[in-house]
Formats: sequence, structure tokens, C-alpha cells
Amino acid sequence: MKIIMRLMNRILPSCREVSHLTSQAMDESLPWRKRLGLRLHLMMCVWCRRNAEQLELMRIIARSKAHSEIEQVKLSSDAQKRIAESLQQNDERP
Amino acid sequence: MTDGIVPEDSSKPSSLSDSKDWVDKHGDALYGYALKYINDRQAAEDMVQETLFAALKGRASFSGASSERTWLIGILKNKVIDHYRKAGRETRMIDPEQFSDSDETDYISTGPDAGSWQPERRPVAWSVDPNDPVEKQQFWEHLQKCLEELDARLARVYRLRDIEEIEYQKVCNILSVTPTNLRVMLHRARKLLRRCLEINWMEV
Repeated sequence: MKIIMRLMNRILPSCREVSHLTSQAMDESLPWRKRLGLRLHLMMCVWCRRNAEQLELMRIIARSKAHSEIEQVKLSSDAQKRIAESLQQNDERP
Repeated sequence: MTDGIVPEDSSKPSSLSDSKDWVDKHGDALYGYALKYINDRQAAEDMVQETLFAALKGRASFSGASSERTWLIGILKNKVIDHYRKAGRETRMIDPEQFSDSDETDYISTGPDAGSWQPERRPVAWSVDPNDPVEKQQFWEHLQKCLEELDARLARVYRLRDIEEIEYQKVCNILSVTPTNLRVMLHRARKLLRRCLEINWMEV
């Protein structure tokens, strides 16, 4: 069993490489060889699987939060006043 | 004006409202848009102001083909891209090697287990339910805090790609970096953020 594991380790990407591939796969589709290596490794390695799931989770939450927040922001009344005043001054200039 | 279609009163298109009302009518929307990309309140406010100045100067170029709001957002968009171009020039000066991994702390470097996780760096299971609005909010707040602690250039890359969902190639263009350079920076940013979240999230 140990020998098989060692052999697999030779063929499959290491955790270190998988961390790079995981990130890369979030942006583009990988060449099939890399994709296969990534998948097989993730099937066997709980830590790398966790890493991949957590990166994906971060992205999902960040994206949904960023979009829901944008509707609620408001210029502070100070900023509003300041901009309006400078705008008016600017407008009056010939 | 080079446009073929000229509004009847070409000196002042009837569909633009008085510039005095712009801040009231569009200020929040412009600010919200700017903040989404800049994430620095002061800079976002300044950008709203710059946009309205530019709009004031360019009033004559308003063709009436789009709404006033759309027209203003268009001007703001260009301001944002300029802002990133400027930032991108700084980014290009950096040595990508700087971000290409101090992986040594995360992974075993020699021996038969080389490339495997260092035992104390193995990712810990998180208990976050993305469907629970309270947990989601807390998680998001932690993530933002971690982003603030991150190297500004890495944070910018993460924001554009993973929060704003801008296409990979577009992010390269905006920041004037090569795809390889961006890949290295994104990997580094995600890795550091995940680690930061792990440390902070688990302490809650």
C-alpha cells in the first residue's frame, strides 16, 4: 500500500502544486493533464480539498455581499455639500 | 459636435438637468459605483467630484441618446479605469518574484513528503453556512479586514477578480500585467486571505 502511495505521489501533483492549480482553475480551464492531476489529488487529499472549497466559498460570499451592499451606500451629507459647492463654483467660472 | 444628430437646441440639450441637482439626484449612485471599485471612501468621494466636473465641462457632448445617469456613470467608469491604469503602472514595476511564493512555510521542502502540507499549516475545517445571513455577514466582515491587511497590490488584484468578477484578461489589461504575473499574484492573494480568515474565523 505504501509503495502504491509513493508511486501515486510521483505521478500526481504535490499539495504545493495543487494549491497553484486550484487557484489557476478558478480563472481558466486547465489543460487536461493538469486538470486530471488536480482532480485525482483532490479526491485523495482532504486538506487540499478543504483549501479548494474554502477559496471557492470566499469568492461566493464576497461576490454576493459586494453586490448587495452597493445599493445601500450613501454619500455623507458633508461630502454632498462639499461636492455641490465646488461644483457650483466651477460652474460659475467663465 | 461630430454627431450627425443634433438636438434642437444644440447649445443645451433639453434632457440634461440643472447641474445644481446632480449631486442630489446622482451622488449616491455614483458614489456607490466608485466605492465598489476603489474601496476607499475619500478616494471614491473625490472621484464623484471629478466625474461631475468632467460632466460639467463636457455638457455639450451629451447626445441625449442615454439617460443622464447612464451618461454620468460612463464618465465615472473612465475615471475608474484611469485610476487603475495609474495603479497598474506601479504594479508593473514590481518584481513578480516578490510574490512567487514563500511556499516553504506551508509545505515540506525536502524528503519523501516534499510538497505536502506542513502539519501545522493543513487547512482546518470551517463551519460557515453561506445560507445563514448572520454568519455570512460576519464572514464578509472578516474577509474585508483581512483585505485591508493585505499588500495593497494583492488586495487590488483580489478585488477586481474575485469580488468584482472582472474577466481575467480584462484585469491584466487594466493593471498592465502579464497573465502569468496575475496568476502568481492571485494565488498569493487567495492563499494569504484564506490563511488570515482561518486564523481570525476560528477564533470567533
